[in-house]
Amino acid sequence: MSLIKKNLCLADRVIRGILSVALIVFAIFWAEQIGDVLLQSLILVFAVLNLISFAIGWCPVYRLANISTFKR
Amino acid sequence: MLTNLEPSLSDNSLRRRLIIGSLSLAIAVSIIFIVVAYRLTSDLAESIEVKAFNKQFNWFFSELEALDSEHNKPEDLFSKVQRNRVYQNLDADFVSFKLSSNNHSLQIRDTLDTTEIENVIRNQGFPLHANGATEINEVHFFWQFQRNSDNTFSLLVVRKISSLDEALDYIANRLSITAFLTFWLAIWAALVMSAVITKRFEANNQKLAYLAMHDPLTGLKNRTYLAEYFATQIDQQSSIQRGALLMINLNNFKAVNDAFGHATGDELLSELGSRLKVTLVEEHLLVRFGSDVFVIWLDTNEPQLIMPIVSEILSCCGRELQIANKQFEVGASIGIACYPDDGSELDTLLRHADIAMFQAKKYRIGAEFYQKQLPKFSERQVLLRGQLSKAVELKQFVLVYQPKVSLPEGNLVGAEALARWQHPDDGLLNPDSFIELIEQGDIIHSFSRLVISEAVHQVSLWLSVGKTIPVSVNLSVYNLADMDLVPFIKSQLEHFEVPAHLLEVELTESATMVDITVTKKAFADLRNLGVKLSIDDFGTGMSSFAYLRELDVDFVKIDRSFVASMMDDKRNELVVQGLISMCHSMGKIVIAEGIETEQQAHKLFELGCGIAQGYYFAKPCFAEDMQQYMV
Repeated sequence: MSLIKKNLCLADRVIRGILSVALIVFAIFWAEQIGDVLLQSLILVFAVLNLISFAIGWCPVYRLANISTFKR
Repeated sequence: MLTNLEPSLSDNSLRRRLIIGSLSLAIAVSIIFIVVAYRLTSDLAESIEVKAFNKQFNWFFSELEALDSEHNKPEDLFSKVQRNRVYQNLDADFVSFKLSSNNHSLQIRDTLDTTEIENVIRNQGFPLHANGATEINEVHFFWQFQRNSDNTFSLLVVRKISSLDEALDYIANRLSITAFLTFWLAIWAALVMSAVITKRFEANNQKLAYLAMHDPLTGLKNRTYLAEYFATQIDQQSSIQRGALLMINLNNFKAVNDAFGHATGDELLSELGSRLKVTLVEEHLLVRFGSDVFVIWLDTNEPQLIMPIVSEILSCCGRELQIANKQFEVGASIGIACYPDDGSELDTLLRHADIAMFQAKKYRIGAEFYQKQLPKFSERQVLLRGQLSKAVELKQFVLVYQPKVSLPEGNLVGAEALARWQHPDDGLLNPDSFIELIEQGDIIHSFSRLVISEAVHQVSLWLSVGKTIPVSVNLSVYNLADMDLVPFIKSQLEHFEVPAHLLEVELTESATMVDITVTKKAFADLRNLGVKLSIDDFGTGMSSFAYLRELDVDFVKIDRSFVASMMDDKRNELVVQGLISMCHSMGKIVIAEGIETEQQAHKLFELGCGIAQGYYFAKPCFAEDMQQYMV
């Protein structure tokens, strides 16, 4: 519990959610524009990580960097 | 004197800098990659395009050459070419295709004006083969020209270069996506890196701050912390409206340090520091201010609240300390300055607490509040104390000599050397105003050495003119703990070639006597050297008789107070008589001090006193004025 303690505020989560959905849509439907499978999969990885952050309200990088936007 | 600590670099500013740095790095790297990738792609595409163009041109030319050999008339060649599907459907990049034969020419494509290129070829003198690149209206073109060796026909083809646009199309998307991902990674890296660095930085900062704010010996806060505390907590109109500054000075610390060494002294301080810490509650700030000076800041200025704490501190300092199997009793003197009544600034409070502490020490009353009506005198004392070491260094102390005479003849039999401070501002100062200050500090040792050296030198000067005048110097009990004093006296006597018996050491009785065994040892060493010994101000101290019994002295000097009151009161006369006869029976020579009248001199002679000293005979005078008393 102490390891995964919410550190994202609502705005932060919403931005991440929108960004990840946009990236997933982009990576899947604009595959030809991207033109590279490696890049496409990297984008998907980023998007999925953000989606997880959005879902649980916790960002591992924030935790490592000792940042929190979460307000009580 | 008191400095503020520099504010440490804040967490946020470091983090911001790191993020900006990482982002700039990411941008720089991305730009370099984009430029290199773009150039690489366009160069590659261009070289492929040029190769393809050359191939196509060569194919066109050989085809036309074959056709030309079949048809000698240009019209036939042209019509054949025009009918050929290859030429009809030239791709759009071929902007000009011009075939010339026997002054006739056929232009299949003419979307570009080729006059300029033809001029170039003409200038080159119609070579067999020519090619090049040109830019018209910001569009890049390749061109290729060739004629056959018989000069029957020639071909000029111009083609638009499209490789740059295509290269851009290919790489733009990928590069921008890569750049986006790189930024993202850079931000991650910057955040994590800044967190790690900040953590380390802060740990170091804290360590440094701790070192700067604490005293390494006792682990207590130091004066820097006190200054910082004052600057941050009290100056800013904060919640703290009142308080009291206690300055605690240990009474006998110097003696312990001298007698048992600094290691013991340090241990004593450390032990006492932790004792004080236990005595105080958390809210009270305890600071080790100087060598044996502690400062306590209390958050109240009500005397009825301060006094219980003060008495607790006094009893805490007065309790026996056990260090290295030895028992020590160091008392303390406390000066109290109240905030804001006695000062609103730290320096003022400290100075006033110092003055109060000095009063407490002087009257041995333990603790004293600072009183405004007292400061004039005490402030001067504090001022003088600050100038002492400089004065010793500059040898601002001079000696005057007060003759001792034999009774009843009044012949000069010796002199007592008395110190005067040739103060640069205040003139010649009497010992009353500075001896006490000297005895309180380490300066006593260098001061006494100065006096001894000067006195021995004077004896040698008198010897050189044929006068033998023994001189006595006053030493403090603190001097006796100084193990190097006896060797120093010996070296001075040898250096000035003065017989030891011409030097006399007077020891003032003092209630602060540390240890009779130390005194006995020092006296024995001096006696072995041949120096004469005497007890000064006899009859005033608490341990007079113990001294007389324990210490093997040559002279006893009866205190001036007995002499002064002797004539008025028969009982005092009896006391003096008793003292003299007791000294005689113990084999000591009695010297009377402070004789001001002839009657006193007579009376003392009657009572059996053999040597006298006082204004009646002679006032203290400089060495050169001693001549008048020499027979």
